[in-house]
Amino acid sequence: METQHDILVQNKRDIQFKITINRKFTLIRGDSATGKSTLFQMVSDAGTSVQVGIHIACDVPVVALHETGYKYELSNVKGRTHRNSPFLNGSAGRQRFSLSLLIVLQHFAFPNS
Amino acid sequence: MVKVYFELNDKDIISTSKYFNNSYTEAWLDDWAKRVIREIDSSELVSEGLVQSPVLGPITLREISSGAKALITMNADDTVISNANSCGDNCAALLAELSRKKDFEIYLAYPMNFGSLEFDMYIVRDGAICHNAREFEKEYLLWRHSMTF
Repeated sequence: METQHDILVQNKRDIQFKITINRKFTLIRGDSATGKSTLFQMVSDAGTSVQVGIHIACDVPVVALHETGYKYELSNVKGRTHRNSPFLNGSAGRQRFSLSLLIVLQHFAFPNS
Repeated sequence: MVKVYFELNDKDIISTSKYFNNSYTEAWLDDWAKRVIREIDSSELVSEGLVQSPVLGPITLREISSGAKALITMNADDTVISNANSCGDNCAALLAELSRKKDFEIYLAYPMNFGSLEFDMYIVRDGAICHNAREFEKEYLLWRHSMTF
């Protein structure tokens, strides 16, 4: 079943991203210097407990996961629960994730996909 | 000539952005770097630490695109296998040009679109030499088909 989520990420310097996600897994790719890393960095910066000048609007939590520490990061996200995430292995994949929406933007290939 | 690895051990893979941020020196910021920043990021290298972006305004060198960082690393650092998976298709022209000027190594696990570009490429997996997109795509598909799932 597909569910649509509209995401707005903006800062006070007029940098704004509007994205509509309607599948469980969405891959954002494109030319270099088109904003993928900037979007990820803004979501990452917003994931702190203090004011950072970034506003995120979405009906579900939006988080940035990093190469290291993603298990800890997931354990601190509040929301609906998805079990046995198919793209996370090990103990993290078996946890009761407090995860509703996940934005993962990283430059990596899927050689075994 | 660019030596292409379709696969690498984890220990040999560099994180393009983090590696660049912690490795670049003033010597890296030559005419090639200025050109990469201009053509890929549509920005200008103003000084060693400052880049003027038409979208982001004045930014630090740490904030340029990962594709630009990868292309600069390919030219400046022979001690690592540059991670070309950080490059979008818009990096293909500069990558192809660099391959005709110097020897360097890259990790490239996706079928970059080289279009009608000509380049000098050595495929490490089987020793093949490629000079155009058709030859590269054939090698890429041979590698993918060799995988066991």
